[in-house]
Amino acid sequence: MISEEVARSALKAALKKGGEFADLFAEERETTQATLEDGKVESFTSGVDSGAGLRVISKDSTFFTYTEVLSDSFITNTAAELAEAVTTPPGPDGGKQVILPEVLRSVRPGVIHKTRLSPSDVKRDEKAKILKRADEAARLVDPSVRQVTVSLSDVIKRVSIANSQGLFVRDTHVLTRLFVHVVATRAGNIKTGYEAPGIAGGYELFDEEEPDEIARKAAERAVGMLDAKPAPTGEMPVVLASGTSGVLFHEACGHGLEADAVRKGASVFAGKEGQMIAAEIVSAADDPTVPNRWGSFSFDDEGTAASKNVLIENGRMKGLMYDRMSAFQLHAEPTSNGRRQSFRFIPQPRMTNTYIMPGKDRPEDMFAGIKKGLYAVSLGGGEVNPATGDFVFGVTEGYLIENGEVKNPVEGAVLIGNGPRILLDIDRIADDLRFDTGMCGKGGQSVPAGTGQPTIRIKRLTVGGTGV
Amino acid sequence: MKGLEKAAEFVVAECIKRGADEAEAFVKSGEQTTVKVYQGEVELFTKSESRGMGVRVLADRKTGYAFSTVLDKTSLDGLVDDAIENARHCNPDEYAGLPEIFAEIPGDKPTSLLSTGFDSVDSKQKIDFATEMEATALKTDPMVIACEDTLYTDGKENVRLVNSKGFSGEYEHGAGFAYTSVLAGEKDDVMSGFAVMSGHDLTELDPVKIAEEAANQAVMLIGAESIKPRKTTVVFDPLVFIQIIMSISSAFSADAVQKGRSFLIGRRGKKIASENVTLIDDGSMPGGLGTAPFDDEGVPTQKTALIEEGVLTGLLYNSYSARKDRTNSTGNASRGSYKSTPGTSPTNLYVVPGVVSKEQLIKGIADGVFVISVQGLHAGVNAVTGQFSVGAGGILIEDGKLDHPVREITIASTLPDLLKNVVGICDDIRFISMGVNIGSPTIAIEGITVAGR
Repeated sequence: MISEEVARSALKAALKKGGEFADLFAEERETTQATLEDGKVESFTSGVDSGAGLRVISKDSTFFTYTEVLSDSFITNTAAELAEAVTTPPGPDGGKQVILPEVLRSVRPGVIHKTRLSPSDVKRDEKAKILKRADEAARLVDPSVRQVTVSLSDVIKRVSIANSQGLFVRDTHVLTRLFVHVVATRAGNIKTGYEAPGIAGGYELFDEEEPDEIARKAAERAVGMLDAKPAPTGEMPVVLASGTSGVLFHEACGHGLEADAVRKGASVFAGKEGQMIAAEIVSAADDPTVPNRWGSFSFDDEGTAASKNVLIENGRMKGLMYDRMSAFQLHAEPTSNGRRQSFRFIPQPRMTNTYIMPGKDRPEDMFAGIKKGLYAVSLGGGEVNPATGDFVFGVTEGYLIENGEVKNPVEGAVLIGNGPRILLDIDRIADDLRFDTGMCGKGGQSVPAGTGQPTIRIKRLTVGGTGV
Repeated sequence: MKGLEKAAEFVVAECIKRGADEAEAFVKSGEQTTVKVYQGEVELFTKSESRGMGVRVLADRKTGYAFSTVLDKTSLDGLVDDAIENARHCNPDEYAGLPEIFAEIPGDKPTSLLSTGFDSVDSKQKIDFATEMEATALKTDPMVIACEDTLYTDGKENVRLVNSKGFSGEYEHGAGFAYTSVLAGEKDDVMSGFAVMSGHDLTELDPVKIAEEAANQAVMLIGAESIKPRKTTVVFDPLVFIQIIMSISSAFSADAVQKGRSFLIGRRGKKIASENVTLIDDGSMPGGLGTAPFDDEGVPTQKTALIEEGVLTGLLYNSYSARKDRTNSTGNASRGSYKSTPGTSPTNLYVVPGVVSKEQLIKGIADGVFVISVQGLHAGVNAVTGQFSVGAGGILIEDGKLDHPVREITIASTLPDLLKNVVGICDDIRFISMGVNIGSPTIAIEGITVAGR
């Protein structure tokens, strides 16, 4: 890995022609992925992806490049080339010389997410066994299970991060995830279901839940949906189950609380700091310190130590999520939300583990008094327009609620609404907070993001289906 | 590129020496420039070069993969060992293996699909292009507030494939695209508009056109409201339908059909769409951004009709799925990156345009919605089950005229019904390439459930 001296000389070279800030992100990423389909272990892939990204910030401009060759001379040369691209706009504060500290100071992590069983200590045979166990368990659920795809992936990522303010961080980050996708078919009717648990950690993932159990859940979801009827259409109360439906808050509200969107006025929450933006019972946070969760880490990808960030407190908007650039621009402190897909990308303000805090209600009490509504147990991804807050979500597992009771599964339901409005329309929050895993996309980059939520009830939301 | 060629040849030879039956090295290298502007200033300027190698080995009909961005001798040694070790832990598969037929490679020079203008465009021109795009959008309409994101990017790539069956081929290609997303409106009624264009390089892109399209789209949606549920005809803008084609294209891969992961299972040779629908994939299309002399396994690319006058006549094959169906690969093997295993992907995929203009088409619709933006495609469209329900924004059509803007609506159907109920295909085909090059004209489909509040 890169030494402190090399990092320092690269930063110096990068700032030669101007710029107020420079940083270096060097990464070595070892990955393995094994895939099973049709009952066969189809492929085993392993590889090393390594390189360094270099960035210079000059006023509101970012100049960025990367190299895949991690040799000392190459990094310094790349930095010198980057300096040539810096076109610091002329002006009173343009081209100011940055004084680099004599020594970069190593920062120790505040929180460590321990890996108990490292991917490098698990043999390929063991990994193949996990795939097979999952496949067999899924197929045993029901004869209608027609296809099972299982994919197991792990990452060991070693990074060195240095910046012109004198920071130097070294960190190792481990990620492990199992993905099970099941197709069930009966009389021409096809349904799918999947489960994809993952942790910031190693193969102790399967201490929490065995591969068989994960696969069974995916299969039961697909099989259960074979009995689904067309989803109702129109405005109705919606109960969101704990866990996966946290993705709704992530998409519909979380992205609007990222500082870059707020700065550009491209967020419905711009200028609403301190105001009531949600029902009083709603509090929400982004927190990379939750032990070993999918979006957890010790340092973000700009070397900022992980810390919990309260976004909404008792309905009031409290904080935003910043990376360094947006913090510079908005005169704030970075909040450990500077994340990047790899050394090939620039950091952006991104969520880590975002969740609505638990309330006092019991989950089973959420349905009382609902004449006709929807119980959404699992949401597929969704999309939101941050400028308007309008969102759309597919319901991958949903049930009709009739006269206070959960009835038959429904298919093809889509939730459509507006982020700020549903925050105000939440009228019950249960005490059963659960986390789930996802990959969050933004600006062409994808990073692991944890989403969390207790069971919540939304007074009214538009459900789009095919059953008019 | 000589060094990479040597490295690829070395790896293939070593794999065979160490006991592999077949071996293949796939090397990609390239360079890319991206410019983003915001409020007249350069927000982001990136320039980068990259390269890496992926290896596939076969031993006793078992396949192993490995990749690396570190290409020195020690790492390449490790790469070979890893690939062979990985193969040992897979199950044997009688259909696994390298292809039998390869593209003819004329001479020893790489095939160049680069446009001549590519290298003559310097960084400043790219910055100017993006700046002009933003400035134009801002002055297109007084209701425009800002451009949220304005980006220009281009790059070129060199693909080299070497295998133990004697194939060695190389080609270069390049592409650029530019987009802007515009915010327009006031107070609580801010709408966004988006437009994108792709081409071989900057000379094929028009900053003014992109800017005006995005700005007009945002302005058109100001004052939009939701509507009551109804079953109606939906007219899809080409940009929207391109995204829909993208999200259902995996269903046309033979691999997906063989493994039951496609709503088209058992439909080969049957009528699956309205008679006016013809869908073509053509990896040999002159000038196409998805065009290449050979696919990512070395098989020549070709023109394949997937739907002909409504009938499902073809599927996309790589050598593995072709062997399973006892047919030939259609030259659609795709690796995405040297890190990924070869899958199947379309190349230049397009709906054959019709003869009516968009204006004529809309004139003939008594009641419908002209959809100009969709949301939630990856959640709402399932190419396995055929489920289709997405969020949308657009303009109501009443008595053949574009009327009031609508938002917060969902449009729902099933993929089989969507294909069957196509009632109009216009003459205005457009192509967008972001990975796969997809083309679509404006398309009208009846019987879609539109829901709102």
